[in-house]
Amino acid sequence: MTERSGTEATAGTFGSWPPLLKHGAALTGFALATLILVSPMDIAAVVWPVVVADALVLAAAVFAIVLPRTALPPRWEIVIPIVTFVAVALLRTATGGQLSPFGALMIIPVVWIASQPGLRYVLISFAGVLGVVAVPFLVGISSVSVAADVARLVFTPAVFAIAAVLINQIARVQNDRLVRLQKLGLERDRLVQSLEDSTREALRRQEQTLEAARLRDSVWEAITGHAIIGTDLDGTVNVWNRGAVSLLGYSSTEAIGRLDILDVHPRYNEARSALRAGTDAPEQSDWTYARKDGTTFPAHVLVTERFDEDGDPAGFIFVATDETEATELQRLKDEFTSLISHELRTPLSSILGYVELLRPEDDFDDPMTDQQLKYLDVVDRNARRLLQLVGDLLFTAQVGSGRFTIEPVPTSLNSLVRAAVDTARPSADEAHITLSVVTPDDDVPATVDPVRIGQALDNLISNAVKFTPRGGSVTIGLESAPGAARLIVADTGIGIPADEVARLSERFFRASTATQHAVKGVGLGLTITKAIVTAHAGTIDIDSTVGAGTTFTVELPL
Amino acid sequence: MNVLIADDDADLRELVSIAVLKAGFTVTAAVGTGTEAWATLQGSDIDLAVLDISMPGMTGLEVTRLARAEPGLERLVVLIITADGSVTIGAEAEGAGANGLLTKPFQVRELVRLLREHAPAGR
Repeated sequence: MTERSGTEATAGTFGSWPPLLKHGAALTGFALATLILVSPMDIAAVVWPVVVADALVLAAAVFAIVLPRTALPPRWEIVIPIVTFVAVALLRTATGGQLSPFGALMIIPVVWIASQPGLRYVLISFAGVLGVVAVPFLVGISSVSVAADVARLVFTPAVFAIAAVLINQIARVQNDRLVRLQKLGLERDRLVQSLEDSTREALRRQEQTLEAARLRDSVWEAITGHAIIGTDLDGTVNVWNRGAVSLLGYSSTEAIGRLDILDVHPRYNEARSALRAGTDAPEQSDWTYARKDGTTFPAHVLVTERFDEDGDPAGFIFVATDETEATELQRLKDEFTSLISHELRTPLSSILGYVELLRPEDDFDDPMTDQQLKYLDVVDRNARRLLQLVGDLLFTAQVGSGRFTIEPVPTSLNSLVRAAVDTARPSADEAHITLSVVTPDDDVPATVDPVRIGQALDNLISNAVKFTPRGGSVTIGLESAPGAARLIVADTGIGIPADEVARLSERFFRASTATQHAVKGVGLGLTITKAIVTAHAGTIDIDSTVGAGTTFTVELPL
Repeated sequence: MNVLIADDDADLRELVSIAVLKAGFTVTAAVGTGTEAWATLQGSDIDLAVLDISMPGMTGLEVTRLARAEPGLERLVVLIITADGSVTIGAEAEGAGANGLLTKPFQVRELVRLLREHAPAGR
């Protein structure tokens, strides 16, 4: 494993050359030696070892070509220089042994082997050189003297061994440097990669930002029904949308940096100082806005304080909606309402007035028959019902248009309950229904609109009486709770199905039990009661069981 | 005691007339528009006017305002009758200078009481 990684690490050095390229030196050397031998230089040589040597070198070349294509590990290439050693030994021996001119070829396999990482390759080189030098000696070819041959046998391998060590060390140092360089290269690649990644990421983010900006711009451009105006803390306009352009008549260039909010939103000073006092809820109000040409229009305006990145106040945002149409619609509604009011009340006034005139008084001396008086009662009662209905309709119209207001004053709820019970007493007696009242001895004071709460109580009690069969009972209670007062109207009546309870305060809704029992009414009483209680910030709770009765609990905050 | 009645509804004019008679006063004129009411009042010896608010020409409140600014009509008593049930109508009538207000539908005996109550003394 270590060796493998070493081999990989030497990529680019001599060690990583393909075996054939490394073998090129030996091929060239042997070709040169063969050429010299066949030349007319007439060097003494035994032919067959030379042929074998050349054949070995060529065979090694074939092996060098084949090796990378086989499954053999690359370290097997060491076979090639070893074969080269053998070939050198043959050539040298055949050309005069110690006197051979081709001994220098030894350097080629030595360099190859010694450049392999690890000191054992130095030993292999040494062994190779020793073998090459020893062969002629072993086969009995001697030179000048035996002593010289022995010296050569020791000296030559020693020198080559030293050279091999040097080559090995140089290869190692170069290899180390290469490994470092490769590490640096890898590091650089990683850096480049991460740089590329972050560049891509930055581009993607930029694209997202642009996309968001395009979306924002298209949304912004689409807002044409509302004027959106931004100002700095001094009121100078710094945001002016298309809606503002079309509603107010100033172009963006005319408005931004030049217009003061007071130019379009007169008398905003007071509201602005109130905003500065630090309320984070938007302020909503109706104002008259001024256009560039001096004309005005009613506007519903929402003002919000704007903050910078540090959370410090930076200005205000005004969102204004043209209320011209809504105002016109409201005016028509009001007109219609007052028309109905007038047109219905006037004939009713006549009916009731003349009925009153018909009734016998002390100074009228033509009394009517009992029959006639009874008929007159019917006319009177029905005219009053009609009048009540007109009143209720007007009232719900006012609630619907949001113009229903209450005038709360300190009131004793006990006396309101007593008055309501007194009002209901005649009809309860007539229907044979027991009215009972449960109120605390102590006064329960509350700040309410006595007329409206009285009306709500009247509605609840008259409902209870209406929906309770003959012989039943209606109990009116008043309780003092912490921070609140409770008015309770409980009956033993026909009850309301559970799934209809939630719809009770809908305009004109009537419970199925009411229609089944043919109880008269149009379904406005509870709508009105609910509106009154809601206007007092109170709640109505309805608890009902069909056939057993209904309890209405009104809770009013004190 | 001369009384002017102005209401665009003939039946109501008649009803008011009956109340005036019951109160023991004289119906000097009964008209159906605000314009006629104002024309009748100018330079007349009317002591009391019963005016409907909603009338053609001028409203009862406008007639009242004009009368209050007219020399010679300082002592005129004005009773307003209205079908408008809104909360603010009382203040409006008072602001215009009316002496009393009655909301439709009204009881005849209530109007009689109001007429007697507001009758200028010494006539």
